[in-house]
Amino acid sequence: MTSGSERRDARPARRALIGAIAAVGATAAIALATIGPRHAWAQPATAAAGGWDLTRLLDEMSRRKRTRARFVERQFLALLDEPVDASGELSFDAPDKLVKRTISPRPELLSVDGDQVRVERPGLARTMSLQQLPEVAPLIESLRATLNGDRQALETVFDVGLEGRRDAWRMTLRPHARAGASLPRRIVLGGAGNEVRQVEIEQADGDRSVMRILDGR
Amino acid sequence: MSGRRAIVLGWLLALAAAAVIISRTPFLADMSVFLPRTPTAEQRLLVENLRNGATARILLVAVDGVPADARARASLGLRERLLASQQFQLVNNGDRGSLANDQKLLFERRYLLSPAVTPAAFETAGLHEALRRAIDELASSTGALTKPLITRDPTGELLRLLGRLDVGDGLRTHDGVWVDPEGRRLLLMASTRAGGSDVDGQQQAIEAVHAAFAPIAAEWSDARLRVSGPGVFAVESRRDIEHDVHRLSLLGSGLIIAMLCFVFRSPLAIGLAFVPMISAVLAGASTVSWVFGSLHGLTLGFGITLIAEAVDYALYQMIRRPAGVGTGDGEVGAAAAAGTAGTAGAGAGTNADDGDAGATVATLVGSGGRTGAGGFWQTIVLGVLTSTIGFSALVLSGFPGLTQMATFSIAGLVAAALATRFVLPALTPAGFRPRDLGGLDRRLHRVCARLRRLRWPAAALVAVALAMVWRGHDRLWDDDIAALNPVSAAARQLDEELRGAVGAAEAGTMIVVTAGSQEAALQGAEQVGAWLDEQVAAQRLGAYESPATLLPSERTQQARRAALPPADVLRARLAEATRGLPLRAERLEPFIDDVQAARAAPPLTLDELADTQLGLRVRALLTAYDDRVAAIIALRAPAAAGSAPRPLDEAWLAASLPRVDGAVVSLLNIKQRTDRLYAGYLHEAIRLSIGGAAIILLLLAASIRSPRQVLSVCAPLLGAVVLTLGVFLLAGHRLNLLHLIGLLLVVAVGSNYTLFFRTLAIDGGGQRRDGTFDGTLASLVFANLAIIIGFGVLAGSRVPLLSALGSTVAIGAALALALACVWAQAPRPLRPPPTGDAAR
Repeated sequence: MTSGSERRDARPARRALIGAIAAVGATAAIALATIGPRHAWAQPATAAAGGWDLTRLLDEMSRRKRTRARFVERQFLALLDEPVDASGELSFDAPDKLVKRTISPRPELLSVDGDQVRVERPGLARTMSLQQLPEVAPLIESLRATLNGDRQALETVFDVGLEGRRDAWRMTLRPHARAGASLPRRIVLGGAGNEVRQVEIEQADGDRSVMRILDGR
Repeated sequence: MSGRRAIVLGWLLALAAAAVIISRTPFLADMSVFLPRTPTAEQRLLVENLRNGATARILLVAVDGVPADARARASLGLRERLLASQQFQLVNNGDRGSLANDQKLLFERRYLLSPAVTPAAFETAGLHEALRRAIDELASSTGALTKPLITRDPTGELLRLLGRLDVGDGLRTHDGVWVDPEGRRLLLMASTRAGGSDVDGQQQAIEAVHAAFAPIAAEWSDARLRVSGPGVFAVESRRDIEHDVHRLSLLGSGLIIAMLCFVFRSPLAIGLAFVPMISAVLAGASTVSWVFGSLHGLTLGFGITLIAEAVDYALYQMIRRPAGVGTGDGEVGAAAAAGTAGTAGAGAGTNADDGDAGATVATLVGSGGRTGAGGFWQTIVLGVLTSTIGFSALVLSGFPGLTQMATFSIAGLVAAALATRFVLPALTPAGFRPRDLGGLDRRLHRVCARLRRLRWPAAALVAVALAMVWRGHDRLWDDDIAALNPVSAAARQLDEELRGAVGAAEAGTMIVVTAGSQEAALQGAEQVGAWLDEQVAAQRLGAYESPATLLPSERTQQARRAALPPADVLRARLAEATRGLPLRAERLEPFIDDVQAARAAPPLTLDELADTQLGLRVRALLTAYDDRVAAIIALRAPAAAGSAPRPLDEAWLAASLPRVDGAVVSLLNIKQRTDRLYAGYLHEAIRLSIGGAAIILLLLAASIRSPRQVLSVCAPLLGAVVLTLGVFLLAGHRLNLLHLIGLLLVVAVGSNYTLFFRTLAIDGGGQRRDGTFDGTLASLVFANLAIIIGFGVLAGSRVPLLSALGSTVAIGAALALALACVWAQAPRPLRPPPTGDAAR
């Protein structure tokens, strides 16, 4: 059967699917947002000393209009005896297009462009509206607001913690209690100077993934 | 005197009996009686089943004007209250809770539902491949979805099922509940417990929706509720019809009573005028109940018009005072005497077959045709006969509704004539003398004489109208069955809008697989489905929806179950299959358990699908009647390169449908078929009416025998019909079946006028020997006025069928009287009374 109520019956599953997609997409967005060009961070200073803080960090982020990077991701799943690896490319185009292109082990494209969420892989191509994902839409939208330097929007979804110095910092994002249960328990971004080097996501069930970001430009 | 008492007693008993019959009759408002019967009994049953089945139980509910941040709460509250009302089997608002049953069912029954369950898939190689894919899936962006299920469903059957049920863009949600594409309107779908044809049940369900909405309305004053669906249509049309029948019959009767007050100025006379009226309505309604076992609301609405027609007889009888009875004290005596004289004639006329009746009437009218009750009654009998023949033509039509109306009219007219003929004189007290309208009559005669000068201009007008009708005959009739639809255009638009929003398209083209049992029908649907899969792959078809997808035949379910290996075999194969993979076989014990449970479980049945959206869908597509079961496969057109789908090539489909053993496979397009049938029936009804008109002409010719007089009787009738058609053509109205009935009524009512004018011409212009006028013309004018009031009121109805009928008859009857007057022969000068005058 292919229409009417069945289509609707598939919705919760699809919502979960997109929830997962969007969570990952959001992480990618954060990662991309924090990849800064080297010159933006040319003067090392401590967070405490040089007036460097979250606002400054976000402000720098908001000036980026286009970013490309490679990624290597390793997932630690309780279910599997060995971690699973994946690699590919990330890109961001201001104001609101995020793309995660996996190349190995299996080609896959995930993009959030405006209101459109799209998944493509062999045998599957699906586009949905972000509006259909009420649980993650606030996350994506607040992150995009972040890319535009809107700290307030980021903090409506997450408690944001920043520690370390400008040349070795850690930003920790914890969703507020009332945010969707499908969100990760914690997202930790690690950066040095103007680069995000690592994104670590801890899922609600304890599974964890570590993404290293290389060659940001 | 005892004779009179017996007549009155008999009449009262007949009325009481009719009332008892009517009181026991179900009152219907289902519009399907005004749809043509489909050609084969099987298809008719199928269509009726579709109208009453699961699709007919769906109510679409929309709420506007709730602020964005409160929409989810409003929708959830509405759903809860709707379920609590006990009126609904299911209420879906897109919330996860409303789909929990479906998900549970799909997951638990995945091994019987999934087409991927084959023996090869459960061999070691198949399992290895499936597990490898599952691990890849885990590592992908969508891994979070499959992770919780992988140990129970490593082969991914649930996802496969969901993918199969999914075609892409779903309904938009806002905070987890359905909203329209603009995101402003809340949407819910509710399936009523009451059947689609249970209008009372549907009404209760709709009231429950309004009650459930009340708290929302109280909280947000801008909130607006809209409900649509087949049930709403049924309830609204019944309400409209009932309301109109009630209001219009009150208004019509009121106006007619006012007119009677003016005419008679005597309560007794007015009371007497009601005798034929009550007789006609009760006789018509009880005959229809007795013959058809039910009474349609529209037939009853139609019955209002009989009030006007029946009053005519009373007017003819009571206003007119035959020559020689001028002083009045002999009035009742005259009526009584006329009764005796006319009994044989009237009795023969109404009881005989058409052929004999012609002869009888010919004798009656031809023999006397002179002043007095005898001639008067012959005219009435002839009028009743012509009407009866006109309506008999419609009894033969394929529309049950038309047959009802025609039966109602025939019975009513005959009863009205009989009541006027026998009961009215019996009830009239001795010495009762209605007001003499001689003076008015005289003035009317003068007007008439002047109008006769217009005979040639009138003829020219009719000729012009005839030419117009001739030229425009192909756009005169409306072949679209929607013309008969009592549902307002606004309501239909709302329905389309809501249907579009929830993606519940109306049934279009479908393949019907009919077999002797549900199992055989499902097996047939599976075979057709395999062929349809190829067509979808070849892009000749967009998609299809078959009941067998959700409720596979038992044969298929058993084949799938047989493909599932026993626990120890599966465990051994898994140990082998997981070699080289990071997933250990021990973790897959839940999978082994689930497979064993599926092996032991009984096959999935229709009952098990109850309380799920999927079950609702299956029920809509699987319908049983007599000893047959039909599986309906709804088809969707292929998507074109652009956005609009290409239309289905139905001719190709019909020609290339696969054959299935033990089942009949056919293509059905309900809307098209109904339209085609309706056009056919409309033309058939037109032919029948023309045939009826021809018989009426023959009857008149046989009874009048003078070609010139036949022409003078018929010309005004035909002229009125042609002019009425011209009026509608000018107004840009397309005519439907009810206009046709109206035209028949014009002929029936108008034939009374022309026959009376003919009598007037023979009888010396309705003038008594003393030079005063007998009131015939006045009675005609008032009768005409009654018709115009009765039908004119109907023309104001919201129900298109009733307003079509009302406007046609009101216009046509007025034109018929005018033309009868204009074209009447000049009365012969009064001569001394001939010998053997029927009246004393």
